Amino acid sequence: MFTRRKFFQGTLIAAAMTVLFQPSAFAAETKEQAALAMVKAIGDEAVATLADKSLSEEQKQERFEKFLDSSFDMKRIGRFVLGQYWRGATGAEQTEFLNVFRDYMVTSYAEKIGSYSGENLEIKDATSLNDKESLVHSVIVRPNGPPIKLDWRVRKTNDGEKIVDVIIEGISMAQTHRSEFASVVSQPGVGVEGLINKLKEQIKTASN
Amino acid sequence: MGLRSKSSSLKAGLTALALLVAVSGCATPQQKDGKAVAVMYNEVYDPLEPMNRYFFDVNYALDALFFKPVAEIYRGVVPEPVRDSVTNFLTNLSQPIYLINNVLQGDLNGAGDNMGAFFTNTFLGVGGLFDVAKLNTPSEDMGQTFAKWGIQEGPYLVVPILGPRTTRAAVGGIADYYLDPINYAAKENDIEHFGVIRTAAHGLDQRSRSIEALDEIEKNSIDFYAAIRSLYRQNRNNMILNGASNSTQLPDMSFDDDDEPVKKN
Repeated sequence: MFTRRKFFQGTLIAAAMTVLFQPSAFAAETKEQAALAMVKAIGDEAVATLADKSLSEEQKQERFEKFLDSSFDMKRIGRFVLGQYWRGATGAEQTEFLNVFRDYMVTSYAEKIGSYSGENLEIKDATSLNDKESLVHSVIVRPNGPPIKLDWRVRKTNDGEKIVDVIIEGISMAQTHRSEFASVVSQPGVGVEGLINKLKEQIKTASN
Repeated sequence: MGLRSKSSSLKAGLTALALLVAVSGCATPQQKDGKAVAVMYNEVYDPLEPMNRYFFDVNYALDALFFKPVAEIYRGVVPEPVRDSVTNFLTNLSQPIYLINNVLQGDLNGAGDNMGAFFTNTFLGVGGLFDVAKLNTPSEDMGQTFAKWGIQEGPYLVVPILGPRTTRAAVGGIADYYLDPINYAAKENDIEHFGVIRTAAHGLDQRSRSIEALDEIEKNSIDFYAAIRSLYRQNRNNMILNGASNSTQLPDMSFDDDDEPVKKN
């Protein structure tokens, strides 16, 4: 009786192992591995760019914009941050919002990236979020105080892996923007058009 | 803030707790059109927004006139090792209440860390001035404990001077005050206004460490109030989960017309 149960268990475990390990044995790279490789490549590039003393501030800014356009799924993020108001917006508004939002991201984050030296970013591992997305875990190590947790939400798209969100110590940047934008759009007489105007103003004051 | 009016405050606390449970019961999102709306509703749920915005402005003015300048002077005058010791000392004072909350949350490993950190740092770290234990004990409060017990967060509040709170965290803060053994020890030793001094010291410590971060958030936001509200709530959720896998609470970023986000137009 006992041995039979043991045999049963053994078979079950063997079956589970086959199911678990077969796909990864055939696939060249899982989506988690691809995501991890992508974030690692970005990290290396960022370190190289920031350490390159020959580059002017403008050149660094240019590189950052290129990096934003090529590594982030800006359309998806833009649509996400507009939340429930995306559907109600006209096609023209959607297009304009995506353009303005991209510029807003550039002006908001360029400075942060510029002040960051890059060498203390430690990329750890990646876990699966759903069938298309993975979370790449990294930490920023500081001389004083505990390290800051930084997670990259990476999505598999037709154009390869793209970042769709950055999560700092459990705080999602996309969610923060969405919540803020929703508050602006829902104010009486503002709407999506008003949000776009506010973002334009913000870009203007920030770049001056 | 003495413990003199204890019984009446306790009554007030219990009433508030009862209210909190009642309010959180009502606060179910209306399912208007689908999941996205319900999610958004939870995210920006703020029935007291006009009042909150008013106190947010009041706090902002107080901060600009008083708290921020004081924090800047403190940071400019007091050398960093001393400021670190202030942080360590305040954290060490909080270990007993962290421990109580960890026990109430069923996190005995966390409670053990609190115990270890408290005794190590009190005796080997000169009364808590130095963090010898290096256990990185996260802050625990009754607000988080209530959350673990399944109580909803209730309406978002901006408390005068103290700043953002969920109702759950605000009630939890009162409970913490009456549960904290350190407050009783201070009373036994006739330390006057201990609660106020401790809160002020904690506020100064926190403010002096967030000058640049808050400036940056303000500079880059188009609605500072809404940005802070979202950041506060997400941070609270992260604290409740103790930074453990937050993947389950991440919002869905797939759309119906997948991989073709701008099909319209």
